[in-house]
Amino acid sequence: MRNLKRIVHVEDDESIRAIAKVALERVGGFTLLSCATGKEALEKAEQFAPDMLLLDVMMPGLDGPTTLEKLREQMDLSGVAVVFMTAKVQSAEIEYYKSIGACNVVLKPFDVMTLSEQLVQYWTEFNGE
Amino acid sequence: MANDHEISIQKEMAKLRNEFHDRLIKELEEFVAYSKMTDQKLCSPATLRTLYEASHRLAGSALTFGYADTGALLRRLESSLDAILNQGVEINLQSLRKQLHVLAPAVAIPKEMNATGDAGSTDAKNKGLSTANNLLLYVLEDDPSTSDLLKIGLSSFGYKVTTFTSIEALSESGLKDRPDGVLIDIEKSDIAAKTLAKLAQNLSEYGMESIPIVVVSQHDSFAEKLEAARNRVVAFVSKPINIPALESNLEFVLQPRAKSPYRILLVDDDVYSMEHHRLMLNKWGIMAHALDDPTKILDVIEEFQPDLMIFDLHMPSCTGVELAKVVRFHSHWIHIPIIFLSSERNEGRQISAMMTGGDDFIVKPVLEESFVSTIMSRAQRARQLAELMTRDSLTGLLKHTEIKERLGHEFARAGRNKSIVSVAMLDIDKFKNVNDTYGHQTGDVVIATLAHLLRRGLRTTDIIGRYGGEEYMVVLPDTDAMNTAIKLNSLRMEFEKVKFRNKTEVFTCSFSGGICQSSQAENIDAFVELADMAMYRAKERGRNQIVQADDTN
Repeated sequence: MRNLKRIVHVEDDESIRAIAKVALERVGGFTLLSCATGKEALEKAEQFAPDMLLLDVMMPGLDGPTTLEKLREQMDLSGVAVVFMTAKVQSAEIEYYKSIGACNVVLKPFDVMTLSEQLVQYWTEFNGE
Repeated sequence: MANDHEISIQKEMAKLRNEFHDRLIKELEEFVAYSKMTDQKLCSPATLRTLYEASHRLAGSALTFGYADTGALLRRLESSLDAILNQGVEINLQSLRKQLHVLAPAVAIPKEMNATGDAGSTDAKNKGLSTANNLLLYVLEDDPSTSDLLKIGLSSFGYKVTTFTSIEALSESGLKDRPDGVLIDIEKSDIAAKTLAKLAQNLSEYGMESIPIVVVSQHDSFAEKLEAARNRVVAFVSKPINIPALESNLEFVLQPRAKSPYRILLVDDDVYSMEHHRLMLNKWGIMAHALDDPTKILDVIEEFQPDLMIFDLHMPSCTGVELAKVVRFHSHWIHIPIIFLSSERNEGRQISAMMTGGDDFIVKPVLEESFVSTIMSRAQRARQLAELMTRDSLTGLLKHTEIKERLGHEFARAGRNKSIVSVAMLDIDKFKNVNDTYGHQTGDVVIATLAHLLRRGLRTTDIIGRYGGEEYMVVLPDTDAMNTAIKLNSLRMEFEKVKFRNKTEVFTCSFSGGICQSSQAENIDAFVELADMAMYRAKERGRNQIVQADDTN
């Protein structure tokens, strides 16, 4: 299994983008592409060649699930782990996200110091180890 | 230990937090501005949609940055708007305006430690020692002289006090400063119920259900207290008012709000399920630590100092019940509640699990709200009991055994880190005379006053205990004897100026102190004894002075 290295984060809130940047770049040591809208992700994600997509569910314009759908039309996502971020924790909801191709879900608010560990764990599970 | 990398991350986080605070204030002002729009404008689908998106976005970031109260208010607004926009619920303008209006920037008070996972939690326990730094108290009191007494008395303990003469005046204020607590004098029992109900209603309208209400009353009957309990009153203090006693009561009920979040230790071999529970707790501002290897538990408890522990019942290396037994071997942790988590629905087994060291049983899968509220109320109760166990009731300082133990920790730590710690023994001069002349009640005021002075004057990292009747022990980490002497001398001079009163007379008191620094002592016993001997030399030399251990002339 290759290491988790490149992550695309799509989130409409600038403060959360900033804090996720600290969590993923500084704490986790990942290479991050941070997008403010689903549209921006559609423009940049393919070229960035991510290992993982971290998508906020509820965003104005393109929401997380729609962004994922459009990205899938654009590029091959078979080796890319998809993780949604949401404030809702009902298991039905989590099952729904999994049914549309997410490997797991990060709950908000997330813990800055452990977000990276959590994503590495999801990455390991995604690769079946 | 924090290394440079961690420190620089903490710095970045602090910067982001500051920036977010500014943004939050600005955006909250915008919400309030919406509440002043005309009906037509406010009701338009475009406005509602904008508000819905804004409240969703800001709620998420407010919670991420640890603004639990603001986050909750925004979430409530978000779900009302969701109901209107997406579920066809009819709009209630008045309630919507109110929900917008309460988002005044004053609600934006961050929790001391928050969901962003601040390090440095080891000081959390010490923080309890700090005084009521700027806690805002609303006092509802119609008698002017009692009102003055409360205002002056409580201000001297570091509270900010705003007084009101009637419940109507308090309602009109809009509670916009968000008090940390409300103190209410119940004079006539027949209107007590109505006033209390109105107050409780007022608080909940502004989303302040969590603000504690304290009653002062000259009635002491069961009926009165029952009425108070029915109206969410958290403390009931009988008259006549004794300010130090009232203050320690207030400290007990008000501080938890300002204090660090509850600390919960989760032990479960199923990492996925544990993470699910951890995040659930995290979301509600509870600090949860996850441990998947039960064999490491003893070190983790020592390090993390949980308020409560949750064990999964079925783990491969040992069962939750066995683990509870192991923990209970340590009498020091006997007060930490243990809750078992399992898919076991058999009641007989549940009971037998609880008989062996557990306190409660929760069946998986858990419902978020009831899970979190069970954990919170258990943790709160445990914290109160722990405080009662370790703290002296008159002064709120640590008790004899607790302060000695903390001193032992600090002494050992200084040895390990090649740093220095100082200990001081303080004793009120001629205290027996005070008791004999002015009575024990007045003596208690003197003792509580010195305790207060020490708490206010020393750092939150210093540790203060009541060692005996009128004797105190103070532990100052990373401080040598010279600096300790300078600090204590200034407190000594402050104390001798305090004028005490009983009914007829005014008098003053003083204290003597002895100091030793850790490098002067071979072991912990010698450390205490050297400070004690120095204190006796201070007495011999005429009292009201501080003497260092190496000053033997």
